[in-house]
Amino acid sequence: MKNEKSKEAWHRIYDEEPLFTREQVEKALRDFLTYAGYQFAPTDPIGFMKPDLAAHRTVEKKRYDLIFVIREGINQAVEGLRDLAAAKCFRKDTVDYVLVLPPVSEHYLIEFLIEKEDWYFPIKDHLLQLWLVNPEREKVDCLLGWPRDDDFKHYFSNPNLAGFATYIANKATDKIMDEEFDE
Amino acid sequence: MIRIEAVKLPEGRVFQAPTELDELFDGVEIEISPRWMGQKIRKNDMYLELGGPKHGYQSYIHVDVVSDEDRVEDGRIELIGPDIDEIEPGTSVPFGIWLRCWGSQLNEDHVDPLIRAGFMPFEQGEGWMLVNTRDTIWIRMNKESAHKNNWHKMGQSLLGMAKINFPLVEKVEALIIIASPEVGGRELIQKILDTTIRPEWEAYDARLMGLEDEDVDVFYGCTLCQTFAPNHVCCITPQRNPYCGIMSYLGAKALVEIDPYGYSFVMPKGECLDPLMGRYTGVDQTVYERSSRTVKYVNLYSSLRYPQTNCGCFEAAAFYIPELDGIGLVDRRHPGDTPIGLNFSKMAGFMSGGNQNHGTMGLSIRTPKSKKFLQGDGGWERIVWMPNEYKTLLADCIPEELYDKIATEEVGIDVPTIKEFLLKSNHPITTKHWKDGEPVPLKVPKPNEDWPDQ
Repeated sequence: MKNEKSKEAWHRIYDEEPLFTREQVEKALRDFLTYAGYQFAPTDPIGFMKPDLAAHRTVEKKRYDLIFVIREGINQAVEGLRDLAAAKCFRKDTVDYVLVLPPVSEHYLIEFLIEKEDWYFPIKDHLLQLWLVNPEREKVDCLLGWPRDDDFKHYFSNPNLAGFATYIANKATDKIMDEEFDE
Repeated sequence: MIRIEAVKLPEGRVFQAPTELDELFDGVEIEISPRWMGQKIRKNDMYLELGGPKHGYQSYIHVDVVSDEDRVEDGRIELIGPDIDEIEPGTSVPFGIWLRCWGSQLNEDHVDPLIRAGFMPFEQGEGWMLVNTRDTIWIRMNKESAHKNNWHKMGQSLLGMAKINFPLVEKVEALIIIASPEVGGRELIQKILDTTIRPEWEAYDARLMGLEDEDVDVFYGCTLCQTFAPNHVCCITPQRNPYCGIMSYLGAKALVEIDPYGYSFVMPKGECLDPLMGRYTGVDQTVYERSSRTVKYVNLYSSLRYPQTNCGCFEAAAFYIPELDGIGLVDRRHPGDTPIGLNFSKMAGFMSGGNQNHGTMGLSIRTPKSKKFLQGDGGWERIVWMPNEYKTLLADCIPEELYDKIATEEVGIDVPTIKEFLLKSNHPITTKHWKDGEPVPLKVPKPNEDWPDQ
């Protein structure tokens, strides 16, 4: 670990080098969404934030909207989640909120979510989603949460990865117990 | 109809769920989707709690497979105890859910993944929280979703999820016991567990533990973690669980039967080239093909020479300590440094990602219980250090004569102190691997490189 804490000293900094640029990730995500039948909308500001990408699709009069915040790695994830939470203050449950990262270290992600930090809880409490986009392999996976448009199960490279949430939730048991019984 | 011979049960209410595939979820009001996986429901938001620590985890979700079709009444749901709208908000009770399945191609090997199907409406149900499995199960439902739920619909979801996720299930019924005090409370559930459920679980575990790698014709592989570790291929054998600890050999076998084109697959054994190291031509070939042709050889029972690659969710790790020519073990929960100057977090940082790191290997908590554990490296006689807590956890599988000879953080984490301890305690490594009382460090190749003698 380079530094245990960020400059602001309220979240950790992980020893991780970005594998892809935001532009590469965004291009791969656009290609994926186009393939899944989505159209892109202007990325107008939502309250105090501006999404990196907004997409929508209508199926039998049902409209699915997603907004995306793209970041380069785990070290920028908290900031991305903060933007999504800010957007949710304004758009409530009308859209899906997705943090997009390139492939990251699974081990660091586990530490980020539950072992060394607790970001898993606010992510789940607010039904935010985490997608991983691999521009090199042209693969997209949903790791936490799930889009309202269930047809994505035909497009994600491995829909079973959504089970990662359960894996993390089981690791969170001790923290839940502490909260419940250490009062 | 499910009857528990050993325990007299109060009379229940019977509901009938649809049995046609396109009607399985008719009337179910909650959304069942991965969107709701891993939810946390806090005490104050809770309408109903089932099982969990307040009841000493005396609860169960149990699945059995019967060979006689007539023993299953398809779509039958029996509820013993109060329904959801008949209890006070904030109620906490022990519970038991038993699913009985029949299918012409269904057998006992399918129980493991079927149990997962039994968890699904709780795991993925809107407003439900599921923590843990089997004998540590803990479920909650939030207040917001209470009005959408009753046990008829929840039972229907259980049966429906078993059928759509497991097409081999042709008939399924459920017995749901909500063990409020008037029904019999924890005592009733405990009796059912002790007389009926636990013996079945133990028999299944014994069957699994009794299987050896030589007993089976094929192994299985898993590439679920390739999203994180693109070249990682996990090998699953009867004596080698995946690092994440979420699957068994029989579980993998059943998964492949359900979804032959999924992330789990058959790994032919081929010819056994080295029984001590666990080297098989079929394993080498499959790993090579599935690792984007980056990993040529895998020794199933070695952490030193051509070990399996690591993803990032391993529960523990084995690591080579050159200055002692020995191997250390550390689990995720141990926060302190190890004799190689790294704590688990830092070690896992460089081990993970799908590279073949000679000298380090991920482990599941259960891996060291295998008879073939690191046998290619010398087995337990090569283990020189592990955290005290992990050592205690594994006490029943560490050879008795070695237990006190393996150093822990209480002895120290600096090499000279550990070396002195090993010599003083006559650890077998000092005579079997060291020369003239001195360790001879191996020249371990860099990740993904070959050993010179290969």
